[in-house]
Amino acid sequence: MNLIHSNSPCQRVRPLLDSYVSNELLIETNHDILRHVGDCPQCRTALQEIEGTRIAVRRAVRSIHPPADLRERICASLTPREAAWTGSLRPRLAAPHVMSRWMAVAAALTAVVLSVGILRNLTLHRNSTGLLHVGWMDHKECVQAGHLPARPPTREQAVTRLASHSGLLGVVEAEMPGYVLRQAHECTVAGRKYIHLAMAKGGHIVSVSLVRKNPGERLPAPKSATIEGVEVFGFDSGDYLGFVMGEVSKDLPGLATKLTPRIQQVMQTL
Amino acid sequence: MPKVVPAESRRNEFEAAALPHMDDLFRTASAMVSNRTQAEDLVQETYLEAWKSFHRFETGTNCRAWLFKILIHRVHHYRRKWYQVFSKNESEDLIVDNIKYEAPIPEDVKDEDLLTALGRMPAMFREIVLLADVQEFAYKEIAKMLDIPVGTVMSRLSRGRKHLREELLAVAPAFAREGQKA
Repeated sequence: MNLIHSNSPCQRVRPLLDSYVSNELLIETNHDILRHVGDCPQCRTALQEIEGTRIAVRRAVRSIHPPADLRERICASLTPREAAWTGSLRPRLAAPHVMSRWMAVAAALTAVVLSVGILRNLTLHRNSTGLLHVGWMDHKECVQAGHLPARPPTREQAVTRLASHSGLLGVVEAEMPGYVLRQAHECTVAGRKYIHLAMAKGGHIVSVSLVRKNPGERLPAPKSATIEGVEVFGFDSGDYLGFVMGEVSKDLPGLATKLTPRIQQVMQTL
Repeated sequence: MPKVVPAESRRNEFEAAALPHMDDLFRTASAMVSNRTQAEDLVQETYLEAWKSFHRFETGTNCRAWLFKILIHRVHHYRRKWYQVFSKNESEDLIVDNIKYEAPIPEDVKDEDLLTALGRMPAMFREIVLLADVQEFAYKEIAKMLDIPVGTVMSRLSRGRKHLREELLAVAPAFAREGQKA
């Protein structure tokens, strides 16, 4: 195509300038355009404006930098273990490549069984969700009901109160930078004893609770659910159930993902 | 019988192919939704989804375009969820009618002004400008990512660039003065 042979070359060239800047035209067309803009100040200005926009937007967007720990968080979320959450925003996806065809068939069968309402499976489901309520009750009673102390305990007081469970404090402090201790105590809610830490950052309070398992209680895979505006992440290890809870926020799933393996290590020592 | 690849090896392969594109994915997500926290979530979701379907990815094909396609889908999903009203009110023809004139971009326009202007653009134009002008994808690749014809990519890019200049008039005073002289 020879653009310059047109009776009105500007009218032919202008619509092609965007594609010229994007390097989407044939070489011959590029040459035609270059020849034309060399002779035509109006088209040259139009071309410079498009190129100027392109350069400026590229420079501006490339000035955006991701958070330093994003790569680390992505890598952490890819592990099969941490991808086992259900019901939360980020860490819930299982690593599918490890799922064999037979596992997929088994999963499909399970879905069918659930869909026809086999009582046993439905009971198991209720139990998992029910266990998350066990953690939620502690957060509700100690945090949401306004029972946090006006003066938070000192670290020494917290260590004394937690006694043999004080290892939990070190883990929570290490994994929750920027949070301050608001509560550390043993409490009893609905007849069950909890080891409860409440950490605050701004107005957001996150609870970490441990409670001894009752017979038959288990969370073989971490679970999460939102109960009355509180996102509850539950897991187990050894003789204990563990929970990380707080009002729904974007940071909480990542925080729970980081805390879970560390808290499980502490739970195994209790 | 399919070849069995050890999980760790597959993961290393995924990280080597996919993670080098994280910065560009984050920049694009951040500029698309104008929210860093949401952009972090979108990029994480993109990687999880990519990881989930990595067994279908053919080594040697364009991993970068594949990741961007997933990101675009995540962003669209996010917009559908939170900006339903926005998408209903936004008509391509209406937007084009409102573009007044082409103004020049001064060399000293600040990055933050440009990002603000970008954030004010209608989403359908913003994503095309980001993919074409910042990430330098070819029209064909963009068309495939967005599932639209190449002709639509071309017209939206042209309109998007004009729209960006128009938005800059509103956010960059120095730019506005320059534009008025023109």
